[in-house]
Amino acid sequence: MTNPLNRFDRRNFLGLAGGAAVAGLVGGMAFPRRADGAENLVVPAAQDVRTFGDPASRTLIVVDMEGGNDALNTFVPATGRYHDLRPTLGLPDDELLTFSGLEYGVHPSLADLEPFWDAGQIAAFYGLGLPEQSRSHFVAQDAWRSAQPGVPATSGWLGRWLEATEPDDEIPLRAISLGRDTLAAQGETGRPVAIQSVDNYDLVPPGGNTAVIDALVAMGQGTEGGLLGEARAALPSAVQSVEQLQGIISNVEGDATEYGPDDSATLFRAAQAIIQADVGTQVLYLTINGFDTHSLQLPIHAQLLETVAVGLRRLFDGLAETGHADRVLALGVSEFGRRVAENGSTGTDHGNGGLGFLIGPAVAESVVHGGADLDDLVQGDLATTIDTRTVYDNALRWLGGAEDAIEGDWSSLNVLSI
Amino acid sequence: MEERKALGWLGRKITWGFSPGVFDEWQGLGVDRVVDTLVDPDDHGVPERPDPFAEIEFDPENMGRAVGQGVSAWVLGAAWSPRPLETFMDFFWSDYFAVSIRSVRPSTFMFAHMNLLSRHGLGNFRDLLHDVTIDAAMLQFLDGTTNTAGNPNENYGRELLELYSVGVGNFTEDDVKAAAVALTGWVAPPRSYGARFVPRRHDDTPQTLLGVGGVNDVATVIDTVVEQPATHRRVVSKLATAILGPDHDASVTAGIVDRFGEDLELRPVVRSLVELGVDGAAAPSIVEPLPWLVTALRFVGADPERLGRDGLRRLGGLGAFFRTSGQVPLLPPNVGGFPEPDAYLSTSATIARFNLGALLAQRASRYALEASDDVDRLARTLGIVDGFTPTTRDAVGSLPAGPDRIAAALASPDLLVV
Repeated sequence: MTNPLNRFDRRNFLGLAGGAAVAGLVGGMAFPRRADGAENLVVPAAQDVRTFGDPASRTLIVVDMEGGNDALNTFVPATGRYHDLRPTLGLPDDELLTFSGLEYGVHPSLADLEPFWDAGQIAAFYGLGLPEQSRSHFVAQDAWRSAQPGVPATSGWLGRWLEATEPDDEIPLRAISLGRDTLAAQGETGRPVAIQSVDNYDLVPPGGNTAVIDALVAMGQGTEGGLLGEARAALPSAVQSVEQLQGIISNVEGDATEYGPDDSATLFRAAQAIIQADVGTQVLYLTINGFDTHSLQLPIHAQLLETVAVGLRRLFDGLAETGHADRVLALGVSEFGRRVAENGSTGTDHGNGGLGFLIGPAVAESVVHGGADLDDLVQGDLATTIDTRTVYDNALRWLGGAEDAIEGDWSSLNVLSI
Repeated sequence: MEERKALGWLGRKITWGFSPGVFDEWQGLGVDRVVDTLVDPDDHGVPERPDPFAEIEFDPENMGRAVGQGVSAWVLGAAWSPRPLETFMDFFWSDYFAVSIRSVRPSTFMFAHMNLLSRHGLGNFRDLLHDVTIDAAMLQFLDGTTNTAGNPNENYGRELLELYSVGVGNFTEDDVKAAAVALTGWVAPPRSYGARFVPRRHDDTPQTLLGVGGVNDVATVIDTVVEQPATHRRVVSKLATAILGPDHDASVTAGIVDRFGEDLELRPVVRSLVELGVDGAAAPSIVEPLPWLVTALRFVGADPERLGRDGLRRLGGLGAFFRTSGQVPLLPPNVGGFPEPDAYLSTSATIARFNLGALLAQRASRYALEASDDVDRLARTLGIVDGFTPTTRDAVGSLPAGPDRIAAALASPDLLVV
């Protein structure tokens, strides 16, 4: 049975939300908000007339929230069922943020997304998933990263796009994975530059003798096939990437801690530096691990969401200051949402429908597509109502066109003004 | 297979390189005797491995330090292991169960976990899985400690079925729930001696798991999953992939699966797979960062005065190597374990190998330096019995004998594929 008191609380919450908007106008602080809120955003509003440049000059930055982000505690649906299903994990109404015109309460760690929302630059997708969406991390991750559900994954959706659009692989830094090498950016043969750890991306030969690096390149020139051929080809790629990234990620200005609360901050800062360096990078893929919150979810999830929000805010602010923000679109994904009802460990188990987003000046309007219907759960999970591939299709159109990188036609949901 | 080649494969794939003189010693013994000694060291008077964690001055107030101490102690134990096949199996199981030392408090529980894997690594799979299931480190890692009557946490139950036994496609969501309920009641508080069972936290209600009724505790859960033919196939397939490479011909293991199903003994399975390997059934595979490191250490570190245990501790650089390579022992990135081996062809892993190889080459023993006088001898000393491929040979030979040449050889594609 549902708790009538909770339902009342939820209605109260809705009432308060309207009040908060008014309070904001008269300078009140009914809700926790950042002091440097929407008015400080340096990203230009999407309504401005713009072309976003030649597609080849654009960058897609993917933020992969690995482990299964809890959608329900990210954008909180305003219905009484929420607190019934989440007696301890439910975020208190008075801690949620309200974004203007958004029917969901927002996790307090996402304050840094509000300027994007107000500028009309967030398209969110609630109930995102794939057919036969799996509750297994690995099956789900493979399906999301390959965009080929139900088939053994051998390549990624971005990797196939990269191969289709530049078969000769002549732009070495076109795709860079940050934090983890990812299947998503691997083609049938090509692979992205992988920066596992920003601090150590340099080659240090014995005694500084660069002849050893030359030998490394020379060893990469063989023509064998098979694994030995792949191992050989890896050598010049590594040398080339170090040379081309020289002075870009190692000499970034600014304090990494401004980019977020944990180690992932260095990834966002490096991403900004790479985009600003204008070295032909079209795909940046950041993996942020830890979203598998089976226990003690509240503090862990709060920090992870802050990592994403602060990282994106600083990234776009920095890019705007240097005039690069217009050519960047961010895509947020996670392999599944989590079970609606909490478990006994103050956490949530693997679920189904998740929450994804596109953020950037090219987004047509701030809106949530799909939704979270707590009265229509599927085996205790949010239903999947939007196919992940329709969002990928938008991302690929941003880059210039899907080029059959994803099998089928997924162009039904157009959320960009390009 | 020709004996010399068989020994080369055995040394590079299974024992992770050759210490000085070992190859000659093996040639004297013959391949059958070498395999027998590796698989059954007790029968050949090989000294037991010391507990790698015994000398750690453990400070419970400084967990960050304990993690670093634990990882380096284990790596050093691996590098100087008198029983390299047992070390190979430790690493295999640590990847199979993929407990992260970062999730375990105190770290001594993780040390006990690794020692548990050593104890059962070539023993009986039923005993191994039973003891891992109620091991303090695992209980903390996958939330068994908060899996209680009335509030089941599915985390361990799901991975038990998906990763540790039958595998994807061979269980249902109801099986996950049944396993979780039957495994309720175990705790492993950080300030305690380890795991214990608390009857009032346990739900004794008989469950149906994989079609078997009456499952209501650890013993019945484990008995049920280990008797499944899918489990036998999965365990043998994992072992065969580790020993014979990801692309081995799966048909050669059919008889081994049947044999394993009879008594769940691991040693005969491993023996059969290693024998298949020396008979030429192994497919090429990438040498992962840890085996690569041990191979390099065995080669350059022959002189204990120059690079003994203490010398390696002073060397430093290991942390950067592991982080950049993407493989930190005892710290797998997620519950699925380390990435597939070809992930280590990434630019980042290539840089990690080059830099550590360069560092080690500058501290090479006289044995290694002398071997570098002749390029072909250098290859043979590293276990590449047919010598380098022509491209590699030319590149390595273009450098002067000594550290430069050794650094290039350690970074060569030839050493990366076995």
